[in-house]
Amino acid sequence: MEEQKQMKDYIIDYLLDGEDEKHLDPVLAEWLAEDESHRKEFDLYKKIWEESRHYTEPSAFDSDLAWEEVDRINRRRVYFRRYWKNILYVASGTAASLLVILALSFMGVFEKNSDTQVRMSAANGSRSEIVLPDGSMVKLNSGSEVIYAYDSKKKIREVDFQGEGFFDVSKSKAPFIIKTAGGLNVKVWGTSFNLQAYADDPIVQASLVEGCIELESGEEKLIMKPGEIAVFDKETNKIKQMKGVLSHSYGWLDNKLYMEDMPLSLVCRYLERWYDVKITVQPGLGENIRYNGVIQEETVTDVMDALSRLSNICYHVKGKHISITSK
Amino acid sequence: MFNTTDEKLIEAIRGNDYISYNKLFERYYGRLCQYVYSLLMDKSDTEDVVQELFLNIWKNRERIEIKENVGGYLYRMAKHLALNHLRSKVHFNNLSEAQDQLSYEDNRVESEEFRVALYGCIDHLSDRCKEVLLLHRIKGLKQKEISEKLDISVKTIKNQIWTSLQRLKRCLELKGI
Repeated sequence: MEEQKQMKDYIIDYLLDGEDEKHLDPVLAEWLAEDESHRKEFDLYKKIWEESRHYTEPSAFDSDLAWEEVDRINRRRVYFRRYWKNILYVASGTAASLLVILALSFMGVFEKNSDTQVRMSAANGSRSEIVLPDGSMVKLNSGSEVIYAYDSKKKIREVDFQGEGFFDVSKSKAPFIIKTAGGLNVKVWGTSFNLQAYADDPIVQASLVEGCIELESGEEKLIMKPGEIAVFDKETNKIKQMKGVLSHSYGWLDNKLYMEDMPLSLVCRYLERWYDVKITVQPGLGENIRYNGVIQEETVTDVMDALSRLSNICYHVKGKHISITSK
Repeated sequence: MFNTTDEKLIEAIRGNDYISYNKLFERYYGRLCQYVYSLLMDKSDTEDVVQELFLNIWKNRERIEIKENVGGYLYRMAKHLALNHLRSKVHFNNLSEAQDQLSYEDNRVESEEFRVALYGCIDHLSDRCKEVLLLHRIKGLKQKEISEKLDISVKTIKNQIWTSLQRLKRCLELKGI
C-alpha cells in the first residue's frame, strides 16, 4: 500500500510537471520497467492527461439556439424554390390591380349618380385586389368573386359575394350590404373585416378587425364588435360567435394558412383553390387527420411534403390531380 | 435513459419525421460540438460544422443508410466535416499555418474513439474533480494557482487528480477502451 501511494505521487508529479521540464524519476522508471502492465497503466494516464486538454463541457454550446437556426434553414430551403415565383406573382398582381384602379376611376367620372356595376373575380390559383367606386378596397382570395352595385335610388351599396375576401369599407351614409350565397347578409359601416363565404362551404365566417358589422339571415341577427369572429351555419341558419385568433382568419393576405385542429379535407379544399388543383383523399382519411400549425404558401408539392411530414400520409401528383393515401 | 434508440430515430427521420430529427439533434448536438471543438478549437466554427452536419442529415434523409452504430457514424461524419472545414480555411488564412494545423490535427484525430469515450467519462466526473482537472488541463493553471483559487492544499489537489484518473480509467474500461 505504502509503495502504491508513493508510485501515485511519482505519477502525478510527472504529469503535473510542465511539458518542457518533464523528466522520468528513476524510481518511476524502475517501476515501469518492472512489469508490462505498469507501462500500460502509465501510458493510459498520459493519454487521458493529454487528451483532456481540449475538453469542453457539452453545455458550453447552446443547443436551443442552434436548433432555432437549423430549423430556420430547413424551412427556408423548403420555401426557397417558390420564392422567385412569388416575386413574379406579386409584381404581376400589383400591375393588375393598378389597371383595375385606373379603369374604375375612369368609369366613375362618367357614371356618377347612375347605377354602376363592377365585377371582379380571382380564379383558383390566383388572387386579386380591387378598389370599388366608393373607395372601398377588397382583396380577393383564390376562387372568389365580387359584384358591386350602387343603387342610386335606394342609396345603398350592394355587393354580391362568393369566396373569401378582406374588406376595407369606406365610411359613407349609404349602407354597404354584402349578400352571400348561403342567405346571410352582412351590413357594414365603415370598417375592415375578413369574410369567408365560399358557395361550396357549409359555413360563412366573418372576422371583424375594426368598426362594426351586422350579420343577418331571416330572424337571426348578430352585431359584431372588433376582435370578434362569428360563424353562420348554412344548414341550421344559426349564427354564433367563435373563439379564435383574429389575425389567423386573414392569414391568407400574408400567404399563410393557419390550421387549428383542421381536418385534412378542409386543408385540401384550401389547396384546391390556392393552386387550382384537384385533390382526392382516400376515404376515411379526410376527417380523421387533423393539423395544427401554419403553412406558408409554397408550391403545392412543397405543401404536400410538409403535410406528409406532419402526418401519416403520402401523395401522388398527376398533372393537376393529386391523390392522397395513408402511408 | 432514452425511450427510443438512435436506430429507431434514424428510421423515423428517413420517413420524414421532423420530431425524431429534433430528438436526434437534442441528443447529439452538445456532444458533437464537444468533439468537433477539440479538433477546431474555435467555438463558432464548431457550431457551424455541427449545424451543417444536421442540415445535411435532413436534406439527405431519404438516402441515409447507417450500417454501424449511429453515434459512431455521427462522430465520423463530424470529423470529416471538421477536416473539410480546416482544408477550406487554407484558402483564406495563412497557408503554412493552416497546413501545420492540418497535419497536426490529422495525426490526432486517429484517437477519435478514445477521445469521445474520454469526454463522456469526464462529463460524469463529480464537479469538484472536474474543476481541478480542468483548471489544470484547460486553463493551464499551476498547482499553486489552483490551490489559491480553490483554497485547498496542493496535496488535496494531487489527491483529487489521482481520484479523477482512477475514475476515468475505470469508466474507459467499462466502455471497452
